[in-house]
Amino acid sequence: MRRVEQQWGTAISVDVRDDVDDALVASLFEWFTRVDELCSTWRVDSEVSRLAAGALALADAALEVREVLDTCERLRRETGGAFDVAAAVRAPRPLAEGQSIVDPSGFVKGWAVERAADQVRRAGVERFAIGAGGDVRVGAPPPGEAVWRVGVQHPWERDRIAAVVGAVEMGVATSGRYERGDHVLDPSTGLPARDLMSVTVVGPDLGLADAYATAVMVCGRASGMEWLAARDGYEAFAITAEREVVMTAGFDRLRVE
Amino acid sequence: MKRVVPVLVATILGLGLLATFKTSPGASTKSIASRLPKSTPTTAPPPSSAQTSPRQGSSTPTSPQISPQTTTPSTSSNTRTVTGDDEPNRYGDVQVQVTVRGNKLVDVEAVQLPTDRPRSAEISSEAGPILRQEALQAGSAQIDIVSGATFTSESYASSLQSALDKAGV
Repeated sequence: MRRVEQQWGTAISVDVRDDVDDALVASLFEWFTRVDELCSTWRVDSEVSRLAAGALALADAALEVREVLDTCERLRRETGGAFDVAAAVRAPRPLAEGQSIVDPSGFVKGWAVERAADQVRRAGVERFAIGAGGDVRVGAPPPGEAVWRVGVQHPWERDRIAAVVGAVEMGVATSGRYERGDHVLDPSTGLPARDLMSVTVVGPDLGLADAYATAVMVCGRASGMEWLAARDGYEAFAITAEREVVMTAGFDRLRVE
Repeated sequence: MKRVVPVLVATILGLGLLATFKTSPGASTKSIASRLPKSTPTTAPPPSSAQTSPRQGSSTPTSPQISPQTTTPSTSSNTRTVTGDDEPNRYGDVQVQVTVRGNKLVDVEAVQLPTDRPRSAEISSEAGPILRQEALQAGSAQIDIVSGATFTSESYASSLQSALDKAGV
């Protein structure tokens, strides 16, 4: 069964190849709605927005929100500050239009899909692919196939792909600046990160892959990719502003034609 | 672990050119010298040394002597290309070609890349090998799902992912 819904200002698609109840798929989309209500920086009434405004105490926030923010703080330390929910205010610059004091969206999308994948597996489903706005989580491959074929979007040609990953039981997260503009900020300067056009990270946890992709965008083609190459179990593929490609050897081994 | 990097550094230092070498991102898409760690400058020869003419195709690495005190203005007619000696290393043979204009280094290229993938240069780092390709490919292979920067609901409508979703429903 395949179902697509517009949520989070983007499209979320769920593709399940084992027999499944309608109710399970419906409950996944209810989960995505809950995540939006809790974490969206575009909604004034979300818990994250209210926390940022000082209208909600962290102790009173939902368990999921506290889990997200705890993990984001751990990621901030792990990435040496490159991934930072407070990226927009870390440097002494005024907040620009559309920016938030607390913005976990570089992690939340992947995390929410990872939790949805957990839910699907608990229901006994093995063959699935869930994509939310370009972050993808796959389980066992479709019947008769060895892998899910995940295409990496070409930044300049909308109907083309830059690479194909043969994915099984993994997350594929991409951070890039060709859809929503230069929205990835370097927390040390408050300015947009521009060395890379996009970064795709693959690995066992889509939430981490999502945050790592953001961190590599911030740190760039040299130190960003070297840092990622040292993460056990994670591989990356970066496209530079000059249309060159830098990837880990492990990513290259995952590519299929 | 032996690496490509020290071989190139050794080759370039043998050419005496690395003192103030910097590359900007757009300078040379083929150069992997920009991945090199910074080196300490070599000792400048005394100002009275004449610039040595490079010998192309020589059996030992040669270079013009670069003196920081030299004030000869560079002209386009003063462009020389020097090809260093073949240096065998763990990955294969590496040969470095250096282009000098006047007394300025303008390009360093690895003319023989140690790889069986013609468009990739393998550069090892502490963490593991990182591959760098010159050109981004644009394919239309059969795929199941797309990973990309978060598309908006509006751009989704004309996206590759929406075509896949429509086909699959």
